[in-house]
Order: sequence, then structure tokens, then C-alpha cells
Amino acid sequence: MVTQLAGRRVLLVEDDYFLAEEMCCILDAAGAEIVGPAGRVEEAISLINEADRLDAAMLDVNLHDVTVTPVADLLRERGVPFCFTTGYDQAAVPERHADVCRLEKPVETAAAVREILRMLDPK
Amino acid sequence: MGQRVLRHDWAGTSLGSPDRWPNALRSTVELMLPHGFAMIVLWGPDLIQIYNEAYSDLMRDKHPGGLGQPTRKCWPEVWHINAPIYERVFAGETVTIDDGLYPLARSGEVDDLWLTLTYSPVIDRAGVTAGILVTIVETTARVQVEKRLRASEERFRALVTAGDRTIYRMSADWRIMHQLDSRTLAVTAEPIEDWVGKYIPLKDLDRVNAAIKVAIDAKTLFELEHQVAFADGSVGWVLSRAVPMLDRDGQIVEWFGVADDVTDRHRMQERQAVLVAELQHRTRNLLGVVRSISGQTMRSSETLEQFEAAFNQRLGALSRVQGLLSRSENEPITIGALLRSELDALGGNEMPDRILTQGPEVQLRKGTVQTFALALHELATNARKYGALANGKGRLEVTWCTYTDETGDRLKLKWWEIDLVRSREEQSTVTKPGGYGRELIERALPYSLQARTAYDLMDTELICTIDLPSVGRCEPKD
Repeated sequence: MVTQLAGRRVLLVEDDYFLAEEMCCILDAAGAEIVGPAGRVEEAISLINEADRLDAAMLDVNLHDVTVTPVADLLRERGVPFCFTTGYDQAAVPERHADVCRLEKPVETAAAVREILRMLDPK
Repeated sequence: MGQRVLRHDWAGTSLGSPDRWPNALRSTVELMLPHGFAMIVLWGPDLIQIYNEAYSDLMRDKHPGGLGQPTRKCWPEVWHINAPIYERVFAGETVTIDDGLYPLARSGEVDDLWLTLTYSPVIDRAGVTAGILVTIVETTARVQVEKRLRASEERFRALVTAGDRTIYRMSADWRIMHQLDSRTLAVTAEPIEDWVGKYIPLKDLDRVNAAIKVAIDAKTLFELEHQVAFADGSVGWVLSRAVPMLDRDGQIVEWFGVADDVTDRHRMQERQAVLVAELQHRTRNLLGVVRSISGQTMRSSETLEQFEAAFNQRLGALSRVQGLLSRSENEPITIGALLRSELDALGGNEMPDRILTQGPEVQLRKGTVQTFALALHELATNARKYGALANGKGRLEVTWCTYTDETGDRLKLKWWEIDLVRSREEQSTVTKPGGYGRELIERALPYSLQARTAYDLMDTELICTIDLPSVGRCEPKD
């Protein structure tokens, strides 16, 4: 488990400090290199622009009542796979990203790691 | 009846014996007697009555006494109606009346009769009007049915149009609005071409046209909830239902419809959807927060008992803030309310002389309340256990003010503990570097709430400032 995500750069976007901390612990434990966490859209976008390489991303759908859609759009443009984390139902996800996997909060450790592995190596 | 007329003692009247009657009178009576409609001849200056059998049926108790009687004597109750008419007929005019009301006392009591009748002059040899022929059809039954129908229609209309209902009539192809009565929509008195195109907002036009097509093709009920432009220019929602009126061949003649204004219900449903989504979000988030608190508490607890006490206290703070949030629709959450709820939970209301809270009532952003409350809880718990409220003489002053900068409206709070004794501070989660309280204030508040925080513990004082956005444009719309 420790090395499952070894060397992988994962962007984390989450507006709640404690949820972000927890997700960092999970990803860290799996060996991933965390980019972020970012709590706001602008932060996330500059992290994407500054990063040499991104392998995957986890995006909280709602950042202080602002939608994460611009971040999702940019990642899609760059070809970086991502998933959403949300407390909302499917309708809260923008239609053009309706096919993107969605993890319901609170996110389970195993589910998070499994989803990132799936994104990195889609069958 | 003919026999009775002939046998009547006419000699005793001003007409004299029938064999001496003028030709005009004789031939009129001959024409009248076998006639199927009620007819009466009024002859001479006394207007002596001669009538047929159908007329005698109308007379009830006034027959047979009325035969040969002057009409004024027979029908005094309607003389005021008839006299002016007789005058016009004697002047040569034919007078026709549709559904005239005649209150007749035919059997003692006066009852209302509606009659359609024509009064025509009978001309004698000299070319002068000598009498009047009256032909009568009783229309009482029809008039009463119509009156009842009209009353029933009015009741129906009142019922249909009550409560902001709109009624309308559309052409068979829905191209022309024939008539529309409403209190909210623009009233249509004259037919309007392309009403749908003029009054249905563009975003609903396809949906409405599709529903119209289905209804026309199937000749069945049109039923749709859609948006519409109201007379005042605003756009609202109606639930519209129309039925096709079919002719004998089953072709649609027109559509008759009723539209209910459901704008309020629609707004409430939209609002409810927002609230449900927010509740979903809050619940999911809360579970995450509880999990994170349990993890944090576990890491900082040495025994299960320590964990239980700290965890339950934090859950208590979380539950108090949920109470405030659930009431926030009616009662906006202010910094004062949040602070009092935390201090009271620790028995702060039992030491009013040692605690000062002062500042304007400021509304907090809903999204900030939970984390802020947890931070205040950690500060308060720490003050009670290890800080200024742990000994007998320390004091706590919490003051706040508002200001505006380039980030918007902000709230700046100062938590000041005076005369504290630093004895067991190393156990405190706030003062201990890396403790849960310290992490909340120094890292979580800046990260989650864009807060600026400072924490300064001195020998006998503690000053903590928290500066965060207050109510502003990020508030969910409501």
C-alpha cells in the first residue's frame, strides 16, 4: 500500500482545512507527492500552471460556494485525469463533466487510493 | 270555443249582435278562432275582448268572464303596460315585444309571465284602426331556464376565476387567442395572432409548442406547467389546462382553457431544492468534520478516558453550532450569539463579573460558522481548564469590531485573557504547539476562511486575534 502511488504527483483541491489535511495524510501514506492542497479556484489554477507534471487530481466540487468547474476545464485541457469529491448529488456536477468519477464525502481511504490508481492506469 | 264565442250575449255589449259586426271584425275573428297560437281581438273604444281557445288557456280564472269584457276591466294589473302600446297601435303602428314581463293576477295572486307578442292594427272599411289583434307566445319557461343558466354560468365563472385563475379560448390550431380573462395576465378582448409567440418566454417556447402539437394531434387535454409573461411585465409560472371543443364530425372547433398562477409554488420549490442541496452538503461535510475531529482527538489523547471527554466536548460544540445553523433561516447567526453559546456551555454565565464580551451585532457567513465555532470552543475550553477562568481571579475580555478592506466586509475579534497562571499549559491543546486548538486557529482558519490570526501567550496574558470575512456577497442566495 505504501508504494502504490509512489512518485505520483496528485493535485488536491479542498476548501475545508481538516478534510484537506486528512486527504493529505491518506495520499502521503500511499506514497504520493501532493500538489496543494488548494482551497480556492485561483490557487488551484496557479498550481496547475506552475506544476511541471501532474498525474491526477482530486477536486472538491464546491469551494466556498464557488464551483470548481474552471479547474476541471483546465485539467481536461491539459489531459490530467481527475475525480470529484462532493457532498452534493450528481446534479451539482457540471454537465460536461458528468462522466467524471465522483467520490462522496467523507472519502474512504481505500476508495480514494483505488480511484487514483484507476485514473493513472485506465483499463 | 267558436261555439261559445258565437253563443255569447254580444247584444249586451257595445259590439252588438255578431250579424251586424263590420266585415273587418268578422273576418279577423274567423281567422283567429281556429288559430293554434293564443290570439285576442280588442275592438272598439272600450277594447272589448274576443279571444281563441289558446288564449283562454292563458287566462286561468279570468275565463270565461273575460269574454266580451273591456280589456282594462279584465286586466287592470297590466293596464299601465298595455295602454301606451294600444295608443301606438291605434296610430297605425305594429308593436312587437320579445320576452316582455307581464305580472298577471290570473287566479287572485300575481305571478310573472314572460310573453313574446305582437300587437297589430285591424283596419275597418273607412281605413281607420278600429281594433287590435294581439298574437301571443308564452316564453316564461325558456326565460327562467336562461336566467338559471346565466346565474349558474356566473357562479361557475366566479369559481373558475377565483384565486388568480385565468380562463381562455384558443383557436383550433392555437394560432389565435380569442379571449382571455385574468387578473395577472394581459386581458385579451380582441383576438390576438400568435399569442404563444408573444407571451411565452423563449426558453419555454419549444416545450409549450411541443405540448400543443401533442394535444392537437390527439385531440386531448393540453396540460403543462410553463413560464409566461404577466401583464405587469414580470415572468411567472402557470399550470395551464385546455380541453378541445369538438364539432359533430369530431373536428376541433376551439380550445377552452384554465391557467393557475403557480409562481409562488415554483419559487418555493426552487428554494426548497437549494435548501435540500445545502443540507446534503452540510451533512456530508459534517461527517467529514466529525471523522477529522475524532482523528485529531485520538492523536492528542493518552488514554481512552481523555479521548472520550475531549471528543464529547468537541461534539457538543459542533452540535450547538448545528442548532444555530438550523435556525439561521429566521435568526441570522451573529458573532455575539455564537460566542455566548460557547461561553455559556462552559458555565460562563455564572461568572459575569469576570467575562466581558463587547462588540456590534455582526452577521457571520454561514460557511464560516462551523470552523469559527470550533476555534472559539477550543479557546473557551482552554481558558476554563488552564487559562484565565481556571483560577479565581483571572478575567476574559472578548471584543470585536468590523471594517472593510479590498477583500470585503471583515470582522476582527480579540480574545484577551488577563491574570492567568501558566501552570499546566503544556497540557492545553491551544497553547501546545501542534495541538488541535492551535492548529485550528493558526492553520485551519486561514486556510478555510481566509482568516488572519495571531496567537500570543505571555506570562500572565493571552492575546489571540481572529480576523475573518463577515457577511458578504459569498452568502448562498436566499
